Amino acid sequence: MSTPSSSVFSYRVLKLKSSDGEIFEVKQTVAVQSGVLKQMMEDGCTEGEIPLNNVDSPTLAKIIEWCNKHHDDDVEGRVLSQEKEKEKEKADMKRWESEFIDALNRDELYFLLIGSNYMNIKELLDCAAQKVAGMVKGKTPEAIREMFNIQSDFTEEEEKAIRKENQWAFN
Amino acid sequence: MGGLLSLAGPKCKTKDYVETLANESCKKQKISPSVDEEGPRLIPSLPDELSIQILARLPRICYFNIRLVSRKWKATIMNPELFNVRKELGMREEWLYVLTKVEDDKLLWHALDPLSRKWQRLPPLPRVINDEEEPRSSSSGLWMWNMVAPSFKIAEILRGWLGWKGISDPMPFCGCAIGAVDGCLYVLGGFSRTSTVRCVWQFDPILNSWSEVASMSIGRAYSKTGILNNKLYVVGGVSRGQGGLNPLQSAEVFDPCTGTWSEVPSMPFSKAQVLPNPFLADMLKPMATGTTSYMGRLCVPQSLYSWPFFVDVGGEIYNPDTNSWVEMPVGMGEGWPARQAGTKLSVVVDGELYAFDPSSSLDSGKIKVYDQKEDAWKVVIGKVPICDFTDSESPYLLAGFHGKLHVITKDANHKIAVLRADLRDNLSSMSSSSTSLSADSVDEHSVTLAELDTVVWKVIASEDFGFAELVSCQVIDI
Repeated sequence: MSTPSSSVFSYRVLKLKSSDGEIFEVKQTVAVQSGVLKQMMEDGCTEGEIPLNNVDSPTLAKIIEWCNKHHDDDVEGRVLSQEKEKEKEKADMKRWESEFIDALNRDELYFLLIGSNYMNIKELLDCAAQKVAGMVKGKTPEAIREMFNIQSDFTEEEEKAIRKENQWAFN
Repeated sequence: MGGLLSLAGPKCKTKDYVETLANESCKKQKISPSVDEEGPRLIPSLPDELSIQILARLPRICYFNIRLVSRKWKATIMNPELFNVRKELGMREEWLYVLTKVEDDKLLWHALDPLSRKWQRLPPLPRVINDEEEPRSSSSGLWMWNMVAPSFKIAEILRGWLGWKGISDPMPFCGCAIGAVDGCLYVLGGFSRTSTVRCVWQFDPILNSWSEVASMSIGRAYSKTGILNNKLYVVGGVSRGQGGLNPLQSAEVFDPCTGTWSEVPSMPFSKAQVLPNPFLADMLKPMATGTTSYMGRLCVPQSLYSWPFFVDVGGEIYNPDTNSWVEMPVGMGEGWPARQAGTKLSVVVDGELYAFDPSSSLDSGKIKVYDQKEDAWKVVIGKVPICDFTDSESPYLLAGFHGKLHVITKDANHKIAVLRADLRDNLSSMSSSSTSLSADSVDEHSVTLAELDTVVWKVIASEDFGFAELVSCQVIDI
């Protein structure tokens, strides 16, 4: 059974305009994954081009790729599918997600984070943020500073005090 | 977020609209005005709200190290708002906090992150000399020392204090109670020199530091604590009064949200009221020997003692809805396994009330669960591998986290070991978690007990803390 909302949305497309002026056409059923676009659809404000000023075209293309993969137009087929198949589907999706995220360079990842936050796409934001967290995990403070280009603003004494505290805690 | 709008939307001003909505969705994730919006960003390439989303997804054990990245990183990591974001993301972590007694009778806390299996040593308890009452002449108190002491094994310490007039506070916090509520540890009362103290110390794991909070209404040592509705209840204990140490029937409750203490009706201790004559009533002192929060009530097993006798007399239950005490069901009170006279150790895991019952052979013990329907304690785990029953004040402790029962003890190599009770694989598929622990209630006298055990013990962490002895433990979930 398709939900009422999807039957209303499914035959229409939204025109999304990236910050650099490129137009992307996206099915409404796909666009609902964006909290912002969903709200606009519910309010009936999706006529014409929708400008997304914080998202450039390469990022928007990536975001749409993600949304297309995650959207599901075969609702009835899903309902019938067995538990095992669902498990497999889930695992396949996880693999696809990590490949998708791992293929991005650091700047692309940042833009994706900003874009998914701007468009309010929770799962994508979660996936991208988790990826960056994984990059931080296990690194020394120095390596983290270098990775993100952060200048330490601690005085020598302050840094020494924290190191001493950590040494007490973990030795 | 710049307003670089170039095209006018035709209807209902699409362009403005999307800006407004996007801003709203971003604001939702913005954590707090206290995270500095000015100055350098946490991560230069990203808005801070997103950096916070990243930091919130890191294991908590990483936070110590990454405080060193910059001042702003440190401030963010020590901001409770970050932990609210973690909570929303389902990133909370349960850590075990173990109180140990080390050389010179000092108390020292160790935290265990069960996932990384890393131990963290907590900053030492602040050394306070809290003279609320002048030390009195010791003779009047001495009979009480003797009475309380055998069960708590503090006789030597207390007698020592009375002798060492010149030395201040050989063991601060001796006899303190501990509790954990609302993401913080609490150390309550205890002795300071020969007086009982009212002061309460709070450890905030986010700040990794101790601070003093509002004192209890009365000095208490060896009181018992329990948590109900996110409030910390303190029950009983002993207080230093005119005639020496007096047992307390009073109770009070700390609300961590307001930082204040309120009165709770005193335990009626009805069993003590029915003693046949005043002599016995004077001799037998009522004592709360444990507290456990179970099914929304505070269950307090009680004893009467008169040196050298310790008589378990059931217990009483506090109901916060009616703000009153009732008698504990007979089976619950009488069957409550006692670790040793004066202390009853129990823990609630997944709604089930467990207690450790030491066996007479001293190299093992049983875990019992309370069956509410039958009002009886039943053996669920016939064998607990306990190696060290010597000297220690608490050769083992119980804790519940990750939805499982854990025993903390010292292993054969005198390392402190944390053991998790796991269901055997072949049984775990039949039913889940602790329900099957309790459902598989085995008759206590069954000879095939060991074979019937459905549990395997798994050491999830062990660490050599030298001569440190186990005192108590708590779990914090933040």
